[in-house]
Amino acid sequence: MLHSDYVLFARAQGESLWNIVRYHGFRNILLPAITLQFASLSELFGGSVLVEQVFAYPGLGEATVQAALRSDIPLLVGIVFFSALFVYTGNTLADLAYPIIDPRIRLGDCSV
Amino acid sequence: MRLTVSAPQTLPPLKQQNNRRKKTLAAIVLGSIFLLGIIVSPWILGDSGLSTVLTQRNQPPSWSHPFGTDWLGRDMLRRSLHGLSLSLRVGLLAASVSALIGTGLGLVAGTVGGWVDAVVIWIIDVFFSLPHLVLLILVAFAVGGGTRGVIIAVALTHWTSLARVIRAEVLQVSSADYVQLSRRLGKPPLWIARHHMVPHVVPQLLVGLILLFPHAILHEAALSFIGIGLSPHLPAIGIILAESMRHLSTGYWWLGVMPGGLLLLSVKAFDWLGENMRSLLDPKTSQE
Repeated sequence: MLHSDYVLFARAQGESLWNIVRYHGFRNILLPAITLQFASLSELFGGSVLVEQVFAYPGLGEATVQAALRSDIPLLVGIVFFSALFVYTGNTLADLAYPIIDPRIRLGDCSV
Repeated sequence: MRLTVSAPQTLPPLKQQNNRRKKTLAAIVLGSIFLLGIIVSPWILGDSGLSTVLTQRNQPPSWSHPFGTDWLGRDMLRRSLHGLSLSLRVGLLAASVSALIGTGLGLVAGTVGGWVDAVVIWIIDVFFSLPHLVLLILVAFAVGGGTRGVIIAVALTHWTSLARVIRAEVLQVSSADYVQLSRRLGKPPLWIARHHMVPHVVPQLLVGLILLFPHAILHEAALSFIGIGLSPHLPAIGIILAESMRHLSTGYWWLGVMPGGLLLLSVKAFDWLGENMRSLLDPKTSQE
């Protein structure tokens, strides 16, 4: 980012580092950050399973393990379905956030 | 005369090339020896040190017991090696099956295309959007748990990334100029597959397989850790770690730290092996 031509130009115009980051860097850095952020939503569930087992915390992860150990099929399938829905919602939010952050991106506009 | 003078000038970079290659080879050999050593260690060590010696229980790490002893006086180093060997073997089996599925579907998706490609990509997307560990639990539970359940669950859920890589590689190579040219020259499809596809896909497959191992082993350990995987009387690494959880709060740190460290080390060794193998086998980097 900071090695690109337009940042060099902005610096040549005498912009401060903070303004460069604010006006030129921030949005560009945000895009991959958001992708990674929402892509790792599914890790949340996997992580909670292990962490709640370690610290004996009664949460969704613990419920998953108990459902599997006690053959509670509806609960297990429900958790899987719900977590998939959660990840799907997260990815949709990320998709919706892209055009706001970067106006060059337009969803569903393939006619160009 | 001039030729003989200029020849030594071109030699040094050539020598360095050899060194880089040798270093990579040495890393591969070293990593393989370390992992093979862990896998065959139970047969070398035998069952000695696994019997309960109540006079020597809960001892911190020392020279006679490098990993300390547990609450029954068993040597933790021996137990960790036994457990890790079992976990590695289960992981290897599951990862190999997974690599087979991934390669098959990736090749089919890349070569056939059309709706087959769409279906495979859709399945991959579904697998990606489901939390991995939750899906593992579901599959392991659905096929009945136990060792078989773990192997099937790990095998069925780890092929997606490899399938994607292989599909992308096939698509990329089949649209490359030299493959198009080869086709125009009238080479049969099998000849093209043999001479143009295989050199690109096989390294990806091998490296993908090796890089699958750490994932498979860690997920096997995770499943055993939460109690869905291998049965509790088998000395798998996940079971050892789960047992040590109960003793961590009482100050016996070596029960968890030492086997965990060994697991981390072997997973890292696989990773290292895969990366070095990639740089050696990949046509793009093998000449560096």
